[in-house]
Amino acid sequence: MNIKKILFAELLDKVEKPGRYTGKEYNEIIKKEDKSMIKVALVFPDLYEIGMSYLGFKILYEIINQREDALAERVFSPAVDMDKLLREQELPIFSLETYRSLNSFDLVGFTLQHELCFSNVLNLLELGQIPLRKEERKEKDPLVMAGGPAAFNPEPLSPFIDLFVIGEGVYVPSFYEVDYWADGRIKSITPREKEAPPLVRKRLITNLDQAPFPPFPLVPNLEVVHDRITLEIFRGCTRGCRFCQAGMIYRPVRERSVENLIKLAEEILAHTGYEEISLSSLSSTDYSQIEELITKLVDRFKEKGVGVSLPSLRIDAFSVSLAQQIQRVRKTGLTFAPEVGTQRLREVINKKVQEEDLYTSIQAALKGGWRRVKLYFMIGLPTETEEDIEGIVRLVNKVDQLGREVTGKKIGINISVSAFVPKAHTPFQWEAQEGIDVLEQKLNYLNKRLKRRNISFSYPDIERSYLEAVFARGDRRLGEVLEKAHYLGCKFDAWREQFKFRAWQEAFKESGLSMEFYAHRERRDEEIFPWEHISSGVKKEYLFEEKKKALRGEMTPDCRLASCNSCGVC
Amino acid sequence: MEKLVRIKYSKDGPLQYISHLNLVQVFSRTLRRADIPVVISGGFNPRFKISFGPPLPLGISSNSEYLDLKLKEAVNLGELKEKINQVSPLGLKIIKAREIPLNSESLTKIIDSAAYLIILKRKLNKDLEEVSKRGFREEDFHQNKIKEENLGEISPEEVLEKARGNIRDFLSLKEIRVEKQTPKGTKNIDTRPLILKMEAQRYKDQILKLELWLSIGPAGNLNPRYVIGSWLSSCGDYDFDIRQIYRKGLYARGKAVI
Repeated sequence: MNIKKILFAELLDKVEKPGRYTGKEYNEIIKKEDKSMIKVALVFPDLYEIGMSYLGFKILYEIINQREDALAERVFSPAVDMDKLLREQELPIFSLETYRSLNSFDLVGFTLQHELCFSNVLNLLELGQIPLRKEERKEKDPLVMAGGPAAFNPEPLSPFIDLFVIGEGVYVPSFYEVDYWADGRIKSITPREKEAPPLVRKRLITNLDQAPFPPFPLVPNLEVVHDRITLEIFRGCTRGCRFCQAGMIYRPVRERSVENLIKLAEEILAHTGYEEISLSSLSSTDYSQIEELITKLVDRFKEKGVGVSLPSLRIDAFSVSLAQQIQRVRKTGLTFAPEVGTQRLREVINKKVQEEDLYTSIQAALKGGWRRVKLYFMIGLPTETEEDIEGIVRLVNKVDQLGREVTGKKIGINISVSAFVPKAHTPFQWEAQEGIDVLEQKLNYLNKRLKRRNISFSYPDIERSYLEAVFARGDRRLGEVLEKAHYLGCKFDAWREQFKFRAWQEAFKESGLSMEFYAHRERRDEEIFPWEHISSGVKKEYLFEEKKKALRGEMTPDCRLASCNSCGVC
Repeated sequence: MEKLVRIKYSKDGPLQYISHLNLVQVFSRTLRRADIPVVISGGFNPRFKISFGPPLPLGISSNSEYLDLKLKEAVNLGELKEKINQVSPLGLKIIKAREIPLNSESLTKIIDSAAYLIILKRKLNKDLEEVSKRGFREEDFHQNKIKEENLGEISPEEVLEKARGNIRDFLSLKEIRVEKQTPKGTKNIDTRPLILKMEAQRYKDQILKLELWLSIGPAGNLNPRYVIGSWLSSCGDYDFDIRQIYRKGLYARGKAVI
């Protein structure tokens, strides 16, 4: 069966954005196949435009292809139109490099960015003509792996994945036995094999300047979500926001040096021709030499019309001179994350930001010529009251008023609200998610109070946040639900227009499991979590201590600025 | 001293599946990789000074597309072509580059017609297709795989003649209205005045080759699929699938652009 021939002759003319399926972008790596090579499919369970925006995916592509004994090719989820055509033609999903079917690879590795891509993992296995459950797979079938942030609670996917990669640690779910209490809580997780360690620990790179970084990243032909050079300036974050999983699992902070970054930027720019360099990390303004880095980058590249951008600016670190540096070449949006509406709740979540600083920064930015700001908020956090919601309205009003005072006109304000999802490996992993009705009410209230011509309001789909919360702390029994939902047609759950909440409810009902049990239940202090045997390096006792401090409204300083908090990572 | 360079290039293979908007981006990045001294426009979002000719519709390939580049200084045109081609993605190639006066009229102003080559494949019923692949066998008659009326019309000359007749009838229509998709919804337009020429060239092995000349101008840059689509629906029992469309030429007042 010649996939390439059928694809080009019959399928591409019938789908939207056919460029998603052709490959052949600049810097694509096509290796001459050799029988002894291990063939790896790097699978991103979402559309091309999403997957091609992730740096980690590109780093893996480069690392594997640099090896003489292996080759890596990319596979993405097809959009619904292509999905249908592939099924009609009985064609398997294929890689973009050589149009090889997914089931003909030796290793199939999924990147799991979040829980709402799990149904796409199953769909891709099916489209790849690989049996879903691992016990149904034969010798000839590929070994199926998964990694990425959502693999830090791997349990819901464990019936389908042979092994998980935790950082660089390896976790094989079938090596562990899970027992439950009558009420559904976990009683114990025990290794079945003597080689299996009781605790799988994340491994990490300590010197980032020595870590591989792709000097020849692929340049997509289509416009993708993050269509620029992603220059990763550091990994990890020690701010310690208590809801943030990335801030816990990617510790400690490891920076690349300014010299190395400039060298990398030069090299990548020459090989890609991008017009923008984005300084990426969990909190880029925390980079110890941020001003020096930006000044040097801007000076070096402005002649070529290449701009520098920061993905999100934090209020207290944002300085006007920094903003003006960035503005010298390319006008980028300004994003602030006050997160919540009151200082009290900010202390609960350990967000070290003073509201006055926000106003000072915005004022300075407006004087510097900006006319649009973006504000991020999260609702449904532990201890949140009406006063906190009212605080968001008050804060936005103040920004709106400030805009008029400084510019004499209305400025554009984009408000982006998300709903709190308690995540594994965070201080809030014991907390319950707030009920759907309450969250909806809060959103409606905000929408009503902030409905103005100059304000755009982007809000979450609460039912999706609910499902995310279920899987974020789910155990391996959810594998069955996932399988049922897949057969009921669930896929692309992260996409509002494709999310089928009724089907998910149906799947839970058929499996006899309750969504509330996973999302709305406050965990006991001594709870054994489904991810109890997976360690990010941060100790559970530290997380518990942080939870208690949160409820007391006590803050924990950034260990880079104060003394060590003994989280266990270093 | 700034220079203006007119470039002829091809967009085919995998790149025929990206939109014109994407191509603009792909081109800019290729120019930056090639380190071509293109003039950069000021403003909040600096861009290279590139002016493209009439966009090529998605899914159509071409080896005669044009664009104008404004350069900061004079360059060797042979080297310019080499440098770009060395770092262009598969499907994008510079064919020719020529310096033109700085005050030259823009491509969109001078280009007034486009020639397309259209490859159509005859749609047969499944059984007939199978038979035509492996050759006719006696038992096909008995298994009723081939109906007599299908057998009677297999002569390629006849198919070509019939297609030509259909084109004559089609072109004699006073109006050919189509529903054109635009970003703002559909628009009903008369395409007849835009069709300059339409010709069936040959028919062999179920493949029909058509040539179509369309006018390009203030009235727009019509996607040839609309014309072929309405012609096919006027053909009745002769059914074809569009296999490939090439834009074989763009012309400025009847002459080559460069």
